[in-house]
Amino acid sequence: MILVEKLDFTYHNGQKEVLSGLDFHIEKGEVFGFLGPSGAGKTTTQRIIIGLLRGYSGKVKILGKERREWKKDFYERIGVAFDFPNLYTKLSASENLKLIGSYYRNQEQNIEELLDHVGLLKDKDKKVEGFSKGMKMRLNFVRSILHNPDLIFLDEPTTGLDPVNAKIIKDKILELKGEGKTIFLTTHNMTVAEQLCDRVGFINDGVLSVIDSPKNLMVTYGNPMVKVSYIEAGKEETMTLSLTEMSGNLEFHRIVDTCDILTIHSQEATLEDVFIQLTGRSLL
Amino acid sequence: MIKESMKRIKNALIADLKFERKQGFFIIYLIISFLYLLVLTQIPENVRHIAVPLVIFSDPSVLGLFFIGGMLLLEKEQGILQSIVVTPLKSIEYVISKVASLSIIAVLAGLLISRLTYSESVNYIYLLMGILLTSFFFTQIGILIACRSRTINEFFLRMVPWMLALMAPAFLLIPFWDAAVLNLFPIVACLRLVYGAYHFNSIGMIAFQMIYMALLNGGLLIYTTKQFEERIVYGGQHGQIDPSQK
Ligand SMILES: Nc1ncnc2c1ncn2[C@@H]1O[C@H](COP(=O)(O)OP(=O)(O)O)[C@@H](O)[C@H]1O
Ligand SMILES: [Mg+2]
Repeated sequence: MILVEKLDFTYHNGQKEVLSGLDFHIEKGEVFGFLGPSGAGKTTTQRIIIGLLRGYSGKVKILGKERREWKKDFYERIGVAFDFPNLYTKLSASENLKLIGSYYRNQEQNIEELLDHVGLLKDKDKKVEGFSKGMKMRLNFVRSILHNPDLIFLDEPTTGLDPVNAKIIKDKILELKGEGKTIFLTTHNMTVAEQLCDRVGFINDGVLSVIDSPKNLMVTYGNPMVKVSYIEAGKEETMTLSLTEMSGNLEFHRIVDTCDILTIHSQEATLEDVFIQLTGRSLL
Repeated sequence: MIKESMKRIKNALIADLKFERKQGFFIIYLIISFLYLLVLTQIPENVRHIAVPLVIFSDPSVLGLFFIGGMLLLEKEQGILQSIVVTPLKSIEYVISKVASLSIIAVLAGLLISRLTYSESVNYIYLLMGILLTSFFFTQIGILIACRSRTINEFFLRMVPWMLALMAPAFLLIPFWDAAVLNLFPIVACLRLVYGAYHFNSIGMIAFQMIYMALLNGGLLIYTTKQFEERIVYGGQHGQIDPSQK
């Protein structure tokens, strides 16, 4: 679906290279994510692929053609939801969808059904200016899939949303994946990446350090820890050690043999731990 | 291809008219037209002969400029432009639709004012062409200015020098009312076209003005579309406002 090779980019008004040598590909039917802190270059990468930034170097092949060779009909085939809800505030939810929907060839989607999917059916005739951020983001989201595109770009789809709204969007993303859609999302939230992405790329300062499934990343780079609470000489103590060194750790064996154990918890490394380990930077 | 393009322009036009109505543009237009009417009906007949064409001319030119600026920047501020550029709607279709939506209002307002204030014969074909060609020109200028502005205030500031440069040649008409060479200034060609609907000019002169303005508008359409692509589509905007320019 998408093949990116040696992608470099510098904004014309900036001196610093914002993307350096990105290499990645996205397969049909997968949810691919960019995980990285703010300013890492996630939005910039998406905007280059979407076709809103010129002057990149490297190869960006999408839907079988180099990005530069696509014309406006490209947008019949992709859906885009920006990180900010761009909506006609004086129009109602359904008017917003109808208006933008009228520019597409594919007119088959049922607007009420779409609104229902994200819990906005009862608000369909209300003006968007009265919507909460969560409602706007949900509307922004369904607007991107109005024309039933096969390839969908979502920039920070759940950022700034409360858990209820975030869940509605996450469920819908998984539903789209179930329908065989290809999705490229960006996030700085490790839970979102873990829950939604088949594969995730770590991006920091315009450099991709690793791409793999969240599970593989945690297994390969994560160092699961074990936390033991016990009572020694009448006092409660805890010890933390790595899961892999448990069998060889003499102190651990002494505690298990001689003290009263209260609890033993194993703690898996989070995607964020792996991110810090690989990039030396936290996600916030 | 052409059919799909026409369909998109039609839908964009419906969207624009809806947007204009919801943002209160129609009401403002009605109020301004009503004020014109009040003034025009109060002034003496012989002054009115000159005042009516001037007022009707100011609608598509001055008002058109104001309205297109307001419209584009409202769209920009609400971020709507960002969502439009990722649809199949082409930049040229976007520009045509904007120009058409304001021209429709200008024609309606012009005809209304003319009917209600001017009792003698009017050449409606000339009037229609005059209003349309004027409106096309000035709304495109408005789009060019709006593409360079981030806020409505900035738009009005930038508009002043453009307005002065474009409007000033009209004053040359006071000493040189009949000078044919002044037709080369768009404002003069437009003004004389509208004026010609009320006070007949030679056919040759009117034909020249029409063809000249049509060509100018055609060239301007290509340039405006290019500028729109350059500054809006590839403007590097993230979300609502370009972070680099905050
Ligand atoms: N329009 C712009 N002009 C210049 N620099 C920009 C522009 N937009 C973003 N940047 C810079 O590019 C870098 C990457 O930004 P961005 O792609 O928005 O990151 P992310 O989406 O990961 O938060 C940042 O350093 C940002 O300041
Ligand atoms: Mg971003």
